[in-house]
Amino acid sequence: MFFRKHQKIVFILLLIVLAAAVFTAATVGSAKVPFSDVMKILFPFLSKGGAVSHNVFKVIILKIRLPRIFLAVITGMGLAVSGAVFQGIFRNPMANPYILGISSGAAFAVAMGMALGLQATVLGMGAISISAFLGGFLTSLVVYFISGGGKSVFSLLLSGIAIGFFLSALMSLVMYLNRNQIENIVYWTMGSFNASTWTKVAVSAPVIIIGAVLLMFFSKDLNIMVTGDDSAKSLGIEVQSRRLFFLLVSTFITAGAVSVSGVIGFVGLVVPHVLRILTGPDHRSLIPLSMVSGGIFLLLSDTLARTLLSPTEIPVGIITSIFGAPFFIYLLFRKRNLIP
Amino acid sequence: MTGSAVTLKDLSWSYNGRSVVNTIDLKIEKGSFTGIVGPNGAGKTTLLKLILKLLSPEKDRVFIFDRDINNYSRKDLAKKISYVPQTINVDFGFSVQQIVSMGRNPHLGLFSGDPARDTEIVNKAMRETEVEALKKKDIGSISGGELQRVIIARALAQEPDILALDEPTSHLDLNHQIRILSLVRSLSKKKGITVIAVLHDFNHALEYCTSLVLMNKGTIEAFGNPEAVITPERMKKIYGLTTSIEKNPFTGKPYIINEYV
Repeated sequence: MFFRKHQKIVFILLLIVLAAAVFTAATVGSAKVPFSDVMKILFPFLSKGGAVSHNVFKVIILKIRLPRIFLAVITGMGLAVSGAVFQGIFRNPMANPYILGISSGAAFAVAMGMALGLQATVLGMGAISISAFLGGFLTSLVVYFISGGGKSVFSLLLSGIAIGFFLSALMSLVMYLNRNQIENIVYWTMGSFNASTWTKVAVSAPVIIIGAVLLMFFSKDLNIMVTGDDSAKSLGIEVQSRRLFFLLVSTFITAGAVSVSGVIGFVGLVVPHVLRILTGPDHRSLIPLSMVSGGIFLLLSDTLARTLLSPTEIPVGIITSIFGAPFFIYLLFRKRNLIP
Repeated sequence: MTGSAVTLKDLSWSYNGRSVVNTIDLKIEKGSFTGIVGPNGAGKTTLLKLILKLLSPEKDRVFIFDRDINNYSRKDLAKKISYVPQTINVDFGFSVQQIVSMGRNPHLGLFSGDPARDTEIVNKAMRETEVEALKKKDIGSISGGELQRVIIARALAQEPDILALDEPTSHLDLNHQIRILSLVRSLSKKKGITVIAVLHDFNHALEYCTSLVLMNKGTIEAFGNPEAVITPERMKKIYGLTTSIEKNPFTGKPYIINEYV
């Protein structure tokens, strides 16, 4: 992490907002849990005497809302961090974490898993989560090798698009042949934290946090790589191996996020983009700032997803896109100088 | 071996079986301002890329200060030789100062470093290239001439012994072309930096270079003193144009004029 003075202030403010968002999210929901009870449950050592009014509140907060909150924050962090890195690697502020076909690979694997009725669990993770992780990760590897080992970002981009279309077609075929599973598959691709558990948090958090720390460690090199391959090589960067490192780690993070939440769009696109505009392009600050902001954005989106039409839930991917897409269009117009 | 900055021995390179650089031998003297000229497709940029290890030459073909380029790590090479590409990606909104600071990268360890000294070197590089006033500006918002100076400042911040430039004046108007080349020449003289520049304009080559490599079809047609390299006979042979060498009344150096077809 490397912050200039005003960035330090932004970072601290974001942490405060994140904390406030966590408390808000823990308080709101279809079951009305009074704020005083929420505080008593979250900070039992602070509450002298006064007991929680209903024991069921404890279950709601600790077993349902908190794991969901944590998972949304962690996933948002992961998507935003890998979005920032993919935008740097592809030298394109419009790139996103799914650019190497992770989402279509994961979706295809999930569709297959659902069609085959896979049930196995590993490390407490269900078959669908594992299919999503492997499907996403392996697809990226295939894209990498098809593109000739990442010699140019342009061939990576094209390979990603080609494989993405191919796997989406296969997923449609699987859905067409297994119509009883269509609903499940479609819901999965819209993204949801509906089935959050502490186990999912415990498995995905280390992947995402360790990955993010590794990325931050070498973020200075990413700054230089943004200026171009030859330019970066002439400044002493081993571009191809460093690029492989960045792609591997951020693909790992993205696959980890997708495996616990499905495909959630726009977080990894909009969050780093906005932070770059607001706080500058230096990845040493951009990555940690995007990380916290991504957590806030996805937590707020998920909170809206489960409260807007309560008790009905909206898939969170719909919320992020409804808010993300118009904002993105605004940025496009701004880029074309149509809006001052 | 004698103390040349760059030595090429029997160097060849081909793209997909098409020979671009063909069995070249060359010694570039320390402290010289060496221009590489020749028609499109002669292999000038490929030669420059081989000297910068942006393409990977075979063993014992390219030597930087008498050491095989393959024995340098990229970082070590970046301390010896810096590169001024025609342009760099400007889409990400880095400031001039941030870009010039990247020149310090080869000198930084993962944890070690002397930030005060780095800042001083970066400031000096910006002063020498007259971009200090722009230092807070987004590199996407400055002019082509300013960007070229910023890239040169970044190259100077590397504290190189050799500066390699690829058509440094191709996007610039006449005034800026001359200012950039004069800047490079004065830096070369002041710091004893060896300059290797791919150039298009023969009059610039005649004016600024202390030695000249004339390339044609992947081989070296002539090498040496610019006045000896550029002759009407060679221009006729390579470009198919009738030319005449005159004397530039302003500098006393040779000046080439050509027929128009």
